[in-house]
Amino acid sequence: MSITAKEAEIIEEMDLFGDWQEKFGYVIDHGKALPAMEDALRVDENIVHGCQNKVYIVSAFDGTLVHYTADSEAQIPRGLLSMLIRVFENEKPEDILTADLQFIDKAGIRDNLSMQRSNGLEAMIRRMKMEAAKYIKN
Amino acid sequence: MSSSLFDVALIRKDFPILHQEVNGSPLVYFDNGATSQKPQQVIDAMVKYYSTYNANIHRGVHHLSQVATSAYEQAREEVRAFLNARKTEEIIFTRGTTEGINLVAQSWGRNYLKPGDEIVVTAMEHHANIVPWQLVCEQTGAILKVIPMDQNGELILEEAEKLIGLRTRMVSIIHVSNALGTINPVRQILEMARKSGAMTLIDGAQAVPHFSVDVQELDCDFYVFSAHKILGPTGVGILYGKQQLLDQLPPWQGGGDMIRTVTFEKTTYNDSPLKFEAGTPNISGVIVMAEGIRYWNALDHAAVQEHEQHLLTYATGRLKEINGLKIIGEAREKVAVISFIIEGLHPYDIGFILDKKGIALRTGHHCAQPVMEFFGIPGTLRASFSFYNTTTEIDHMVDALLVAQRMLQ
Repeated sequence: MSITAKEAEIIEEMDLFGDWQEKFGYVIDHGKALPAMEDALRVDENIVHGCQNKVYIVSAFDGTLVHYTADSEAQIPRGLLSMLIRVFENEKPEDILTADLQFIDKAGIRDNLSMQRSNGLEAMIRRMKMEAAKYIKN
Repeated sequence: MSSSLFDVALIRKDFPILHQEVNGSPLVYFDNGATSQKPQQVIDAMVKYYSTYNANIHRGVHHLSQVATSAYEQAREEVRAFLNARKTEEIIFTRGTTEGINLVAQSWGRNYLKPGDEIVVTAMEHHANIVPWQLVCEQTGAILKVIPMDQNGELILEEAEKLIGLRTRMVSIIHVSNALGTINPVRQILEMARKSGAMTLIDGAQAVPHFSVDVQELDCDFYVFSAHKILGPTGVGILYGKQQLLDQLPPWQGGGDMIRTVTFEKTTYNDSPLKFEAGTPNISGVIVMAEGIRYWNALDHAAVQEHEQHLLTYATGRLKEINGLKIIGEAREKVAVISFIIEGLHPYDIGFILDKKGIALRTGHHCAQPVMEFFGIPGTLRASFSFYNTTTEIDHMVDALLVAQRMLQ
């Protein structure tokens, strides 16, 4: 499934919820499905700077597709990470790098984030793209 | 239920910002420790200044400059009376508490400290009373010592006795902890400092919004606070210093207003306080700050304290009804500030949900990372109350916390 198709799925699911409480309940539930990161990966170089709390992102490459592991000590960022992984997991590095994500705005997530938190979310996306860029051969 | 002596509803009418909705709910402003809201009188004073007598001060012979200079110097007198300092010359206007501490650290510390000299702070300092001293320690070879606290968030005075000694040159302590609300026994610590011949500085940023301070009675050498935490504008701070000390200290920053004569060969300096106020100061801010102090002076302080203590007791009781909620800092003497965590939940997530309910609380380390490290937590939620807050608002906060708990567990 393409990045755009996965985004469309999320937008459709989030559309079922009326208010922020339901929408973010869903974001939090996403986070609960994210496996905890092993302690060995919770090191400084995997920290995403620009987030108000500690967020870790690690990637791997199987020669064709990128795989992500991520975690946060807080549940809302964890839910957002889980949604980003759902979109970017098993995609080609080129597709991740060029993706113009729509679901954050269209699913009504950004509307409910303060500017600082929105910046944190952008920092997560930037880091995931930078990870993908590592696997692109010049 | 609210305290009978104090008409909160009437007081709230003076604060226009409180009457609005945030995210569809009435604003509950519990971030007073970060900055207080401003009464209409203060807002009007700002408008009046810029509408009728904005001018640069001290050097103009024209009418507007004289009016502005007179209001600026009247503000200094207002602050002198507020702190009960002996003289207006002892009141220096700065940008804030942080700048006041940096001024003392650089003007006094850098010139008088020697390698091995000791500066004593407490374990519950705001970063503003740690980092300026660390900088001057790096510059002079002085050493920073820390009075420890216990699990209730109270300083351990026996340890302070041991730390403050012949090598101590400065004891710089926080009057009221911004992270915990603890009112520190500053009189006892000042007494220890005086016995050892050390200088003393009190960071009163979180004290002056809650109770009256008398610098002569305290007999400290320096006292600092910020206008914006006590009804005034941001960007203005006060540094009180004993005149004989200020006279001896060299200027910190150079520029206009702080000089007597300037030639390329030699410059002579003005007397305190102007010696420490280089450049055009925050004229409007200083004048408007005085209006905030006048507002504060007109309040019944005994009633304010009773009301705030009632808010503290009420909130403490209501918060303890929440399963897994732990209050961080349960000192016997506290201002109306409560730091807390809820087991298993991150303050960030709770703060997010509270904000969606229109409740403004602080989440994080509150610029006091060593305090968080001591309690082994990444941060807390902090509700800091002012005299214009109500028990109904506390009920809203508790309801919102229960929603957060349901969503997150």
